[in-house]
Amino acid sequence: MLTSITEILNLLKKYGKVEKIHKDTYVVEISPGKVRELCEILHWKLNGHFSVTVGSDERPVNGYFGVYHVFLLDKQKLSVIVHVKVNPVTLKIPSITPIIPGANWHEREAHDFFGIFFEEHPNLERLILPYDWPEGIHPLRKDVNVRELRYKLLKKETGLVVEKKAEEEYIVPIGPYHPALHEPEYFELYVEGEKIVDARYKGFHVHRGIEKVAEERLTINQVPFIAERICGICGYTHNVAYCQAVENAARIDVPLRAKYIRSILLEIERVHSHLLWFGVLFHLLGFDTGFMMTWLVREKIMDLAEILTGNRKNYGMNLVGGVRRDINEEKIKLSLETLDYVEYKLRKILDKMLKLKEITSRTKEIGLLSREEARKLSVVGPVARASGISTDVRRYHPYAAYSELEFKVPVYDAGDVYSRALVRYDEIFESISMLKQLLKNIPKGDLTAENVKVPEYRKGLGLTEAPRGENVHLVITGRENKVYRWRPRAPSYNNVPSTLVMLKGEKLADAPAIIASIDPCFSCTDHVVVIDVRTNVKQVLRLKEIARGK
Amino acid sequence: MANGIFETLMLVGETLIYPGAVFSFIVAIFTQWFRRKAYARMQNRMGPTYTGLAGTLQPFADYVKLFFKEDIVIIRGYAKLPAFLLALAIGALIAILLMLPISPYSVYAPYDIIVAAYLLIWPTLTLAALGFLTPSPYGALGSSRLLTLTIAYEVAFLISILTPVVLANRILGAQYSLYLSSIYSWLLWTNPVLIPLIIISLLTALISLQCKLLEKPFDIPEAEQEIVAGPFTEYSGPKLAFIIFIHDIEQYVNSLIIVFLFLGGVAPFVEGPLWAQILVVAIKYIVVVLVLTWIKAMVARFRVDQAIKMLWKYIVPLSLFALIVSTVI
Repeated sequence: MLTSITEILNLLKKYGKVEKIHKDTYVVEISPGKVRELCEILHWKLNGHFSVTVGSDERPVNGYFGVYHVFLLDKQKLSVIVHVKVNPVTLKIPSITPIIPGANWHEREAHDFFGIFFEEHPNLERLILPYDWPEGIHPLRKDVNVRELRYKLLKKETGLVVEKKAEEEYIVPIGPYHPALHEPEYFELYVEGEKIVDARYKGFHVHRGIEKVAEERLTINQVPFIAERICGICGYTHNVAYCQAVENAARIDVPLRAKYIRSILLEIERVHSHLLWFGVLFHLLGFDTGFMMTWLVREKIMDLAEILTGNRKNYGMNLVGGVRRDINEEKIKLSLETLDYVEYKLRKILDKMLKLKEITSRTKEIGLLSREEARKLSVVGPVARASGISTDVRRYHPYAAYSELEFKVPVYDAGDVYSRALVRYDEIFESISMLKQLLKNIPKGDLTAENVKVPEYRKGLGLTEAPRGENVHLVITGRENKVYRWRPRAPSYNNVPSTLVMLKGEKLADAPAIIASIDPCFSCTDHVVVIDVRTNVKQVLRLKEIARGK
Repeated sequence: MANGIFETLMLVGETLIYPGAVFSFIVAIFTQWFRRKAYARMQNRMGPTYTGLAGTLQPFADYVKLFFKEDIVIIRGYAKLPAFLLALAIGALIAILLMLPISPYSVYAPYDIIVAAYLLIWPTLTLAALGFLTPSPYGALGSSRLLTLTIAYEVAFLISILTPVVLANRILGAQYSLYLSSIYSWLLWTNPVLIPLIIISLLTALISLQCKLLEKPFDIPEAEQEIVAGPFTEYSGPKLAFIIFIHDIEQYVNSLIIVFLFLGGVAPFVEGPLWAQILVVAIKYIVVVLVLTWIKAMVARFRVDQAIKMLWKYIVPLSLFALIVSTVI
């Protein structure tokens, strides 16, 4: 077992050129043939976990496509980025999905956006691009221009695309619009009576192309605001992760007061997000009284966010190098009072509700995800912590002001819906205690760093612990104050595939609670699946055709 | 023969106006408003406020809105059959009203409790059939869940209401008639030996009524978060209004049965003035509705297997015990 950093660096040096890009973060550039070997060592032998695969078109810079596999080694507090140069003619590199099944979606996304083929990938189908997207156009390549793309898409005429034969079992669709889940997604549950025998998922209904917009049209300091709009609940964490990535790349030192303010807002966001989740869980279990009660308390937290930032959501507080607004003594006093009230109320409400027999009998030993499965799929956040994996970016890769705080990382072994609830229950109170520490100890000082200059073609990795798990942003800075490549990876990206494992063999009535137990965050929809009752063939229609009265 | 014509006219009037269609529509609006308001207050919410005094006319506004909407008939669905079934269920429920002391000219005969039992099952069958008449998977699943529940809760509810009827017959000679049992049931409370039996069957009747009304924790067939609205997913406009009306009127009729059979009907004012009798029945009715709402606000939904287990393990044996003891006592 390798433990010390030098030993790991020596190991990495055997495989290729190692470069330190910033604190505790190393890029190792290796040849395609050695990818699998190194990834297996990093994920399985060193007990790290696979975090994200980023494709990148670097032909204007060095003539190659790039693929970055990011691994986080929690024990050693290291981040290792495995960089593979991909030949722009053959476009082939070995897939790591056979070793780490969690990389499935990541590689399919790189295939969609850059046309990179991952050899021996079990299922290299389209993931994000719609079914009727023309072949051979890979939107994130640098030679694809947004304006040209629009012209090409308008001109093409595609008809109905036949997808797949529906199977013999009875299909219960959950989505694209469904009262249980308040975002568009599409789960197909194959049921026998009340039992789920199989499940399929189709997401990314409207991929908004934020990455392309940021790379083509925005400057470095405009991206934080669009990053905040990635998620409707935990947007600020994306904002912070992006800013940290750029700050790391440019080696900017953020003032301590700004770091404290970032941490305060991140924790406020976590509390309100977890309370929202509890409300949704109670609602899905048919316990509307619990839903109303938790959201009543959540409203206090939303008010707190408004007092501190001026907004309930989308705080807009960050810039590269610091924060935009200050917090004064009066607000700190008010916040501490609110937190005391919220803590008292929540202890009273949640303690009672988590002991209710109807709640426990419908969450205990339901939606099981074993530790091995969790490791394989590389799940993150509360889902991983409920399956006995102790992972928390705040503890193992400290950012903002977290290195100066005392807190516990709650871990439960059962791997069911109930333990996911318990992890979040503990985290709420940990967050409240962290908030109190932060508000009491906030130091005086500047809000932003001076002389913010971002050099070109530097890589930076920004990590935050979002309410739903670890949130990773990889940024390659570009020329003229622009971003060359920005890849935000939201935590649900790693967590959603695990629902398909959890759903198998469970009762239909438990499906909504299981899907919600990972606290999924989906996106918006633009096409509809039609099942022809006679031929049992599923078709995907474009909105245009529906409008024509098809 | 003149008497016969008078009787017929009376019955027609009762069916259409009091306590039939018109009156039950008014009661349905009140009941729905009361449940919504009480449920909302139990959850720290406002409930209906704008339409009418304290929102009392909100259910009426909802009904009007639905009645004047387009009646959408889906492809591979039926237009007239659901309407026919809905009318049948409403008719069955109003027919029960004629057998209760609430109507000025009641219909009764020995052993008519069997007719009442038959009529009580109609709404359930209608709702189940509605789901199977649509090609939606949610409808079929909802209906199969409803029928699964039916075999448990209908049994429990019938056994529960049989207990006071049997007791009334054995002790007071009510001849197994719903009307006569309702009139004499208050006398059962004067005998201390019978009180535990009445209380047990009252409890089982309330719980199985909650299930009959598809309210939490038994709203499994129309569990919004799992199968959208179950049997009613594909219905909109006037048909949906009638489905909601059936729900409200079912609440009204069944709660009245409980008021008359278990809670003694007009009890402290058996000889008293009419207004006092009406007031007493209204108060008892509101208490029954409030208890059901309270259960709804307090619990989370069961899964279908948990609900069946609970009903067969506790509710049916308890009600059966009360019934057997009441036949032996």
